Amino acid sequence: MAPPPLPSAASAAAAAAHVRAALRRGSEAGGRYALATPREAGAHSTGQRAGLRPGRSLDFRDYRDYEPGDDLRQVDWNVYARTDKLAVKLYQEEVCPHADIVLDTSRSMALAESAKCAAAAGLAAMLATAAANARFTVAVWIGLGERLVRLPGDAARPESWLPPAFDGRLPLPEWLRLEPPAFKRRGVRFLISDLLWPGEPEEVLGRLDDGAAATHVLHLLGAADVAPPDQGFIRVVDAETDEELDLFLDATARERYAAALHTHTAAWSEACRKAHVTLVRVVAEEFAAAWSLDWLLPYGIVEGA
Amino acid sequence: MPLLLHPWFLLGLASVPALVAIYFLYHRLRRREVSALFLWRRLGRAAAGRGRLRPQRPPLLFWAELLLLLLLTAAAAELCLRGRHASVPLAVVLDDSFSLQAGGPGDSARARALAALQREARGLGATSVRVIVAGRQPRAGRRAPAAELPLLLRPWQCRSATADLEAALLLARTQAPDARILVLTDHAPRAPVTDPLVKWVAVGRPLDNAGLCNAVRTAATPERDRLLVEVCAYGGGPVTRELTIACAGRELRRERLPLTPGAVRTVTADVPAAGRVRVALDADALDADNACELPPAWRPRLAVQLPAGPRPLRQALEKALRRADVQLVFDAAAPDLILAATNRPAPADGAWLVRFHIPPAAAAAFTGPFILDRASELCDGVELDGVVWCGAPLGGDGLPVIMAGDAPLLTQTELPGGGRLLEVALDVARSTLTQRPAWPILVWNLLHARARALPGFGGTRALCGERVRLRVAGAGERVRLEQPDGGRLELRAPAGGAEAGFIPEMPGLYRAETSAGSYELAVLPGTPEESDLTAACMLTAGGWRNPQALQHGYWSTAALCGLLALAAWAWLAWLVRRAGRAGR
Repeated sequence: MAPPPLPSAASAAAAAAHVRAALRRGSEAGGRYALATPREAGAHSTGQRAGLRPGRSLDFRDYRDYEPGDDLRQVDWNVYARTDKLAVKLYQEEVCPHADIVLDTSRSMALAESAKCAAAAGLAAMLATAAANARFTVAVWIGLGERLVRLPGDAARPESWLPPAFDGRLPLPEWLRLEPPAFKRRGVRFLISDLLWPGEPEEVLGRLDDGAAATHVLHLLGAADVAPPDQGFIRVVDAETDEELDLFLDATARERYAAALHTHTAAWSEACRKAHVTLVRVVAEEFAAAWSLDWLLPYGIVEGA
Repeated sequence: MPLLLHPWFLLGLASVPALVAIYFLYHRLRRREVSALFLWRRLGRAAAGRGRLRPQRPPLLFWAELLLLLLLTAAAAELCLRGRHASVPLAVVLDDSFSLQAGGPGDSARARALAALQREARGLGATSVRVIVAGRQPRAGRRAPAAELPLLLRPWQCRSATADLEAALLLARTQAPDARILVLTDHAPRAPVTDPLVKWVAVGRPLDNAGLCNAVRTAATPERDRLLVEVCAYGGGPVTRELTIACAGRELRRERLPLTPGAVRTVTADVPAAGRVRVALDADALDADNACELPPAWRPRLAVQLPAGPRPLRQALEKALRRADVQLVFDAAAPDLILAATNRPAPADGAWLVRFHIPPAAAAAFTGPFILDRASELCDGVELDGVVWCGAPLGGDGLPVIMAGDAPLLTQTELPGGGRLLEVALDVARSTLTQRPAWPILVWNLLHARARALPGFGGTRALCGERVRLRVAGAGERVRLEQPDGGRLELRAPAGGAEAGFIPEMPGLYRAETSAGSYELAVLPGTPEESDLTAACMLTAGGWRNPQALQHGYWSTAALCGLLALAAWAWLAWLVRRAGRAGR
């Protein structure tokens, strides 16, 4: 069952309880999935899982003939002494896959009468649980003040996390620009955000994808973001900057809004395509009605546990 | 009777407060919080002027009275309106790749593009201009009046390695959705231009050209570097070009190269290890790809302090150090790497300390199995099969790197100042480690790990668009970066690491000033296709609809408003009379 949308006049305590319920629900629902491991994830490190390639663990994998250019230090001199042939030892790769989940906690994610913040928190919890099922280590990043920081308690199960407050006044690019977070290299990175800020996607994608094995952008929009429910004269107020704009919303205006949103999302899609980043779009209310990650299965991001 | 004294007109004038009150009540604004305002700003034009402001219809009489009042006011004030396209915004997408420098300063493609821009802007009657410079990443400037165009063109230097015009067009459509878009480049569009807002003007000329495709300088010996240069020609037939290699202002080699179009010619040379090397071709259609400067090859230089004793350990270390390809300095005042056999305290200045623990005579000797941390750079290629390792297992909190069973023999600890403490339990006299290949490999790995942690770029060559990393002395340090065009950039290492990064956009020599010293990096374009000028052309594709219609300016509505006021007054009179007849 979908959680009720966050009431507009809810207190901070009520909002925290609302997010905590979403985390609990996400943690339960995420148990059905396991995060897929990209080929590069966690390579060049020791870990709990066997990787797909030859690597540097203690588990012997195979011999192969020496080829010019091979590192002489990898030559097995005992084999050379016995057979007079140069052979190189190959070991099984061990990986310690890691997932970084960047959760956009700006105020635009906690609009009144929208399930965005509950869906974002629940989605992060589901991904963290799916990652734990696949024996990933997990770090959850949220915006706090002018910095992107680790969510307290993110190593524990999601229901134990300190519920993040969706009250950031800066857009996500500012958080990434002012103090770039120390993402673990060769990890899998997720960005859960509505992506609703002006500017070039390449800047955000460049910082997010730098050194990652795979990056996935989960574009979470509220139903009101996709199709404004109002008709007539309205005063729209920016949730983060409190800027206001008065306008009359009719069918033409709604078409123009849809076209503007389409242009914006097309720019993101194009930038993600160029950066080899997966972008998946989901409407918060639809997600919160199903509590399922089946929509990520075709992209190979998650698998059934 | 004067019109202004007509009783019905005065009646209409008196109804204004009521009209305003009704308008307010009917059209008061509902407040709605939204995720982002920038999408809604594009609706401003849809909100007005389309006659859609009738969610709840007030009486016709209300509109007639209001219309009459507004028309009279407009006529009295001689209201002027803009023509539909009187405000003509123009977005200019400028190809910033260096191929636009082709043809020389007087007749370059850039000069022709500039002339075309002025001609098109004047012909369009543009009132505002926004410049988008299309390099590897498009950069949008601010919107400004057309008179400020020369100021807006300053960032357009045609020094980028490539130009992503598609991305720049997308950015132009996003930043200026209602503007006419003018694309200025030197080649034809990849696909036909169908957007009625886009005009593509190519101002290039097909020319024969030869350029440097690649240049690499690597360390060969301590005194000499090895230079590899790749040259490619484009055009109709074989050509011969003169290649000059100079080091620190002294010419080392001058050679005439016969070049076949499309084939890459490779030239190698030995050059001194000191001083910048300049590789240059003689002048041709495009000078930007004819020369490059390469700083000396990266030679890590380490200050190492050897232990005073015991003698077998010192001899084993000296023997292994002689085989390393790292430039070593001994007896320096501030060593980067300290090899000690005593219980010396850990340094706080970022140096690495390797502390050898000589065990007592009764210490155990291990023959394996040895467990190596393969993630550690120290264990790269190290094999300990058949090694006898004598040492007392280490205690402490260090992270084990080499263990014999559960006995740590080599551990490492990160020190607060950025340094590292390595502790080794080893009795050289009673171990066979120093007689096996694993020993020089271990020492080689140690030296290179330390060298990679030294401040600097970790190399002297990169390509445009690659992320370049610069190690600095401390976390959060600010670095001044001088770009090839003389511009300065300030980088900052994150608080959690001593490494700053940037993505170079233009080829040339970059110079970084850090607290630990200055470092040079040669950045090459990596885009040989920009040297190929055979596909350059002059053409105009697409175009704006009815450009003449955009030249209309403001026009006075006084006469029209007077006429319309008469009509509105008649309409109002008719409405009032009809209402009177109906008894309302």
